[in-house]
Amino acid sequence: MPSVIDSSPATIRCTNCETEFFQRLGRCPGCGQLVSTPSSRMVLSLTVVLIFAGFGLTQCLVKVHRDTESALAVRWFTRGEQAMQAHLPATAADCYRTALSYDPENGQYRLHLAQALLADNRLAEARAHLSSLWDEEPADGEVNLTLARLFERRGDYSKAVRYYSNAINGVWNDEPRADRIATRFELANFLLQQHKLAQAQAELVAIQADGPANPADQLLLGNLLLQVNEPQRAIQAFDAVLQSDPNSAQAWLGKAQASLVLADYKEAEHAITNAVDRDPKLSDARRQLEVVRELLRLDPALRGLSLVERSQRAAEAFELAMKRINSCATQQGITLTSQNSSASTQSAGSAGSPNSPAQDELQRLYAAAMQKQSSATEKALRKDPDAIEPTMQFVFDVERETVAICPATDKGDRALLLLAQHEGEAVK
Amino acid sequence: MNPQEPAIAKPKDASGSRPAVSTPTRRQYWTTLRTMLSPQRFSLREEQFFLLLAVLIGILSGLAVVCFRLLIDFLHLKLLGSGLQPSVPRVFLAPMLAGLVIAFLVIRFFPRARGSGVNQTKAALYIYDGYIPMSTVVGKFITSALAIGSGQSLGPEDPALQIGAGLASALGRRLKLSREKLRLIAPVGAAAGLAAAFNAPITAVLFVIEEVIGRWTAGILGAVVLSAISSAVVERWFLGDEPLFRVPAYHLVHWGELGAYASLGVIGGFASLIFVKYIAFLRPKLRQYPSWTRYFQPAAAGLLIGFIGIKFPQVMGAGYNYMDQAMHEQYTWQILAVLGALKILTTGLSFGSGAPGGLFAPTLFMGAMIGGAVGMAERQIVPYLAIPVGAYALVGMGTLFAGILRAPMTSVFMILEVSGNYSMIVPVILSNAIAYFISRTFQPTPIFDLLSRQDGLDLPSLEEEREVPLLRVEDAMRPAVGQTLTGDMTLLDAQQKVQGSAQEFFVVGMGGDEWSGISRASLLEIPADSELDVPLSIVLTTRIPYLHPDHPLDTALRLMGKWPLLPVVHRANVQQLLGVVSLDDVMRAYRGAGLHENHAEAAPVVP
Repeated sequence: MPSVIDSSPATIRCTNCETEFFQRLGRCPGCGQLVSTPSSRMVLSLTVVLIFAGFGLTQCLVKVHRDTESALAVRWFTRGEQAMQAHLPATAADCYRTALSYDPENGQYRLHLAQALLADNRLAEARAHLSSLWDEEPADGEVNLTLARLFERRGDYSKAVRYYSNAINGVWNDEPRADRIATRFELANFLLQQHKLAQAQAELVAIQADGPANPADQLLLGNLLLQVNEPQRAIQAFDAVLQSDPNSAQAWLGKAQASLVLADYKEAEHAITNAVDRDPKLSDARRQLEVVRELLRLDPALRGLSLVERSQRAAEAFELAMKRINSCATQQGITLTSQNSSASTQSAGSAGSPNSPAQDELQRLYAAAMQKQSSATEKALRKDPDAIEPTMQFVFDVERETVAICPATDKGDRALLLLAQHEGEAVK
Repeated sequence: MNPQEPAIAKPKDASGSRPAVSTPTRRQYWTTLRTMLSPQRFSLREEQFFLLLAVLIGILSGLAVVCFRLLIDFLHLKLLGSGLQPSVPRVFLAPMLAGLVIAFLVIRFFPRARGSGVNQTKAALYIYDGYIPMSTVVGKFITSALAIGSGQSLGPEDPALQIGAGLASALGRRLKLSREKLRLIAPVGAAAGLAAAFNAPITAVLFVIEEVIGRWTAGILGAVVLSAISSAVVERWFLGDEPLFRVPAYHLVHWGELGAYASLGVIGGFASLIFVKYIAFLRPKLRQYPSWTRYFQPAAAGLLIGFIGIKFPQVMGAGYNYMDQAMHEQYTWQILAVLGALKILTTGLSFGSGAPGGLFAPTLFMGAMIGGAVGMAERQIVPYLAIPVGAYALVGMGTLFAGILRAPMTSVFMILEVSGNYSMIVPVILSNAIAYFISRTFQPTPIFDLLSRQDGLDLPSLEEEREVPLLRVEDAMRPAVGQTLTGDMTLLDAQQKVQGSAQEFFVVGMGGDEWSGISRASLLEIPADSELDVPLSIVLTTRIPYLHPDHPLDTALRLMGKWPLLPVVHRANVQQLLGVVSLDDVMRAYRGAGLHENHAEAAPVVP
């Protein structure tokens, strides 16, 4: 191994100070000037040419490399998407991770990886990726939405709400309006699960103000508004669906439920009839229609009824209540007495045992009914119209109390119970 | 052009006579232009040319390293496939078959391509006057790419360092640089290569100065910085400027976290120790086998690595993807600990078998895994600290770097530069310092010095040199008792003073910033009938150099010349004499320093 590649003891003369010296020194010892020789100028020139050529060659190689990596990234991302659709989040995460290795700057890949990890219940890893994404794009709607879902999964209510809000107010790329509405829906559902009705209500009202164009969204909105006790707004939502699709049985059904909440029984009957006509398979709706019709037949408070009709209905309701008490007592094996005393039980094997609260309640109701019996006839009610309302209150009490003891199966009882429930809500 | 001639020749007037001022001819214009553009006008001093050369080297090295990285990726794709989990046949066959090819190429054609590249560059600097053959560059390029791309547990940074150094050496030789510059050109190229490989120019500069050159002179620093920056610019031009790791932002929240990082430093320190001891044991052990086995050692290492890679493919290759995953809590702490341990094992196998490749990336991998494992375990023990695992992984990288490679400054700045996160500087310094201390205590010889001694090369230990105290003039000077005269003293006064003194030489303060000297004999030789009331400042015409106490002692030797004594003066008042120093004083100081070198640790390689 030579120590210095210099086999020539050649000397040169400095053109600046005329000093003669060995060329290998590289500089004139007299004046310090670097003396350039023709060979060194040639080498420098060649170096510059080599650099330019190197740039060109490297550019080509980098382009080929980038194209290859891009293709691989797309291929692995596609595999990840297929795996997610096949509900294989673990496989999808691996595919997304591989895609990321070829395209590390791709935010979409990172987000999808985080979503796959979330779906695979690997919350810590998902959070680590999402934190990085959030640091870079704190206003990104989808990132915030994924974070909200993560914190929802972890049971952190306040953070979930915070990120949902961020997502709603964030930046969305493809369909911002539709994405924001969908996010609000998701938040509303989350709030409902947390029994935060007021906050859920606010979100749903905001959605309605935004006016979702999609009938499916309007239908969902209507159903959710019903859950947050906004029947009037729910009707508006269902009407919006029916405007675009008059044959939507679900919309008619929803409108019927809202009408019932508002005690608009005629409208409810109309809506349920439309629903059933459009979808004969709605067996529950049919049963409900019978109940509503029975209610319309029994309700003495309907407008336009004469005193005679009101008295008849109230008396019939009272008779139904009496029957209800007796049937319930029979079901429970109780013998009721007209005195307001403990009922005697005749159930086998229980002689001498204390009465249950249900038995006491039935006895109380029976005793009260016996007292009111004379004043609850049609004739008596015609003479004393003011007694109609107390009579109906008693009927409602009977229905409310007996349903806790034995379920109501008769359509008359169910109709009266429905009236009683709405009466109770009105009182509140 | 004749200065006597007017600059511009005037046209003839109507009488035919030429007026006093004339206009220049075309020939004069060209002569002037040639003079302006003559090479002599553009000839540079060597220092200036060296800086320009550094830029060119940086660009060349950047291009070479970009192509090197592309080749590694290409080979990885072809040999191990595109997925992060290669198939079983590929995992077994690729490193093994590539190992056979690598061994053949290295033994037959490119013997100097073996190893990481750092010691080879140091050898070029200290032994071979900056000479690195071009064949070594080509061999390193090909064999390292093949080794790393096929899954050997090695990194690309050290080979990139040697490739850059080799290109610089080749260019320097072609340009017939002076011997001094030829020695220094290799580290300039080394910094360029490392900067491009790491995409971290500051780290590259610090490492080359800390580990390869060992000194901070302004001249070399400028060239190294220029080449590193040029190289990094080229690399970023082609491959983008995103950081090596995508790290979430961390910051110190609770001072109790420092305790956690300190524990990481302790664990990392001992892990570093294990790795270095393992390399120190395995490498010479493998070389004791018959020479023909060297054709198969890389293949055997590849086979073992492939066997491990079936279950843990993360340990194959450089592993940067998996470091990123560790920072994002991809693995449990048990898996991280296993990966860290396996990486130690596989890197030792690859490196010890003679496969060309570097230790930087494996060191960072070990640090990331061990740091992540410690972090996750501590989070279960002390949950209220809630330190992100990625922070531990990041600090762990620096910790192992400091403990294994023993470049403390580089290890700190490297972490800051690759992550772009400067809020972690305190934990990084703390953990690195602890690991460095542990590694230094139980393994006094750094790994690169160890490897060089195993190769039979006595390269200077820059770590030891850093800690050798610099001798200064103040360590050698003595009080100037009865050895000073002033310039305003008359000859008579001076003679009377020296007559009573046993000293042979006296320094004379001449006023201002000048000092002179006179021997006793010269002073007493002046005849009595001479004008003795003349001040010394008139008589003494020669000036002697002076020193300051903080000057390196080497400066005293350079300035001593023919003078037996030199004054040591105050920097704020040159006429204030603090002491004197003679050649005997200087030699006494050097002897008293007691410099020793210890070469007892590593036995030379058995041929």
